[in-house]
Amino acid sequence: MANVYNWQLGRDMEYPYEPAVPAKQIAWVFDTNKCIACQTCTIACKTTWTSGRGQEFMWWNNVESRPYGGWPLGWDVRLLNKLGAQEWENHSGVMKYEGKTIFEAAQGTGEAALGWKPESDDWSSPNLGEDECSSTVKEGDYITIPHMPWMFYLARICNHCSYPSCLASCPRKSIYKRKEDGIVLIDQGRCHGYQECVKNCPYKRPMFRPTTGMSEKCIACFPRVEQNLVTRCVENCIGKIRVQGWISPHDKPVEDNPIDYLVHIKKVAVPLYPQFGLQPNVYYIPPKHVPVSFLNQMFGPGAENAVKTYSVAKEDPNIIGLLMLFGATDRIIERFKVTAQEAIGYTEKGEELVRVPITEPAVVRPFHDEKAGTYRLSIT
Amino acid sequence: MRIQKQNVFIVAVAFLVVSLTIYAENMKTAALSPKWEKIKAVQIQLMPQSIAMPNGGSMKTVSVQGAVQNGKVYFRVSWKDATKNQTHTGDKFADGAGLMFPTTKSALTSPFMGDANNPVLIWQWRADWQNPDAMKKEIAEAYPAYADWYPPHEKPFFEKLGRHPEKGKAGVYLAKGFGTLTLQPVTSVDVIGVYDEAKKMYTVVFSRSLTSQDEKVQFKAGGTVDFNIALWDGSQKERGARKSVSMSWQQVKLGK
Repeated sequence: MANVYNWQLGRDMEYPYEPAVPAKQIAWVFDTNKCIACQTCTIACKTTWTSGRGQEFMWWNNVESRPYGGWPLGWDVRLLNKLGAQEWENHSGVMKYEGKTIFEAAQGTGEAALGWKPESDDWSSPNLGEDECSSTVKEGDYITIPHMPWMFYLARICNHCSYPSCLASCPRKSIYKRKEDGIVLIDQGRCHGYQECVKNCPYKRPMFRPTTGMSEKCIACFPRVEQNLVTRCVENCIGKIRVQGWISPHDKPVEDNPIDYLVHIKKVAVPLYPQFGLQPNVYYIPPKHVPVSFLNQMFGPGAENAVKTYSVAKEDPNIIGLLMLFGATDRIIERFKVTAQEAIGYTEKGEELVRVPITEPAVVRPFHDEKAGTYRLSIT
Repeated sequence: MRIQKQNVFIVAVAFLVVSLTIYAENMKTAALSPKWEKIKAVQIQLMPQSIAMPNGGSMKTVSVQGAVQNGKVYFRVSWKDATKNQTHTGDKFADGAGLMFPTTKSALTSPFMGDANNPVLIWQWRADWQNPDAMKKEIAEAYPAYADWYPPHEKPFFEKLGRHPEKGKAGVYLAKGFGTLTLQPVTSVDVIGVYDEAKKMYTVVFSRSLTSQDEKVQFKAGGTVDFNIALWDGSQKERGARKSVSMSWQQVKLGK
């Protein structure tokens, strides 16, 4: 076991391998407040990567509903249950995780990490329980568990973690994290289908393909990323909830890097289950309407402040500008600038990629179309 | 009389079928031959693999015999297993057995998958590799193809099993320590596993020519072979590092 620093926990932790920090680390920010679960991302991924035989039940990208949905069934609550209640503590305003990560919880058990392996049935329903939370908010209701007339959609891909549990758990050393971009891949030339990665990835992103006898997972569309293109799920998101880029080390944030600004500087985007200890690289802007206790469990102690910052985003032109840049181009935005009227995305070298207005101009057309000699159904 | 092309084809196919049958019969005969009763067996106590993660292994003992006949070496591995597990799917793992040989001297070689300077040669048998038809049937039932279109470049169902040796052949690997096991493009090792339902007993026989150009390990009649052994019990979801192992080098004499 090596000692590695996990900035999301505010402390060192035990990990089976020495840290190997990539030259760049791929990262995403997903705004849960904008997701409508249209599953366009899911289908974009499916048609690109998993349309083959034996991949019928495989969704490298999925969108599930919360609090009751989830795929595979109960992927997070079953692990939370195994891990047990854990504590965060406030050290002079810095939250430090005092509990055990899944690596630390497994010490002495002969396992690389605490985990559980879903059965086939657990993979068979993409979002079982998605309608359980549908009810009407009555006058006088207040939002609290267990009476919860609230829900939100959680879009998920592989987190391409800084300390991947799949990689740590593979006895074949079939899984590697790329030096150039931090993308985590399963080497299909070495995988023997033992499914230790399936068992120990807390996010349940590696999936077994029975027709090849090997496991597969989200590959972050690496052939696209190598050409500075965003992943298919990001490109096709019609709600424009996603932005993709590179995250800097937590202590060296770059102010005009979109991911750094949202994650490190404004802290409006927070990791998914940081307490597991993998330092995941998909960051979420948490839903505004969900009880804080639930958000703290799912996104760590930074969730409450993230919601507060997001709720007053209009006071920060940079956040508003960045939100406008979400989904605005199929190229990876590495730098950004916000003016009074526009948000502009650039490459790292300063090449302009996209320019969008902060406020969409409202155009009202005459009700009667003189040229066509007819009345318009829509005039805005 | 002119020989019709068609007849040649029929004769060729018939010959192929017969030769395959004889071959299969030979290996099965080799596994069940009463001659084995006259050859001394080495009884080996097994331990759960507990050095590399993940740990595991539930089998307690195994019996190993070695013999040489007609220029070929035979290793016969027998053990009790209450259940026959012959498929590897999302939920199930197959029974298996592996023999490991030092490629240098056993005294220099780590019994735990060798090391960089002293690689080990491994022969593996797995019940699912021996029964691709059973695998195909089970997978087709468990994972029905529900799409009405598949990419045309996809190979036919089940032919992409990259890690599977040919039917009737053992997987041959080289390893230089934990996590380095690498499949070799070698098909020189024949293997068959026979499960006795009444005795709840597996008998697996590996066979190869005494000498091989493909492998670094050679055998000779009357010689002594250093080896290590591993067993996997599919019913306990054992696979990979979750296996029962002989902790130190064992020896078996190659009787005639």
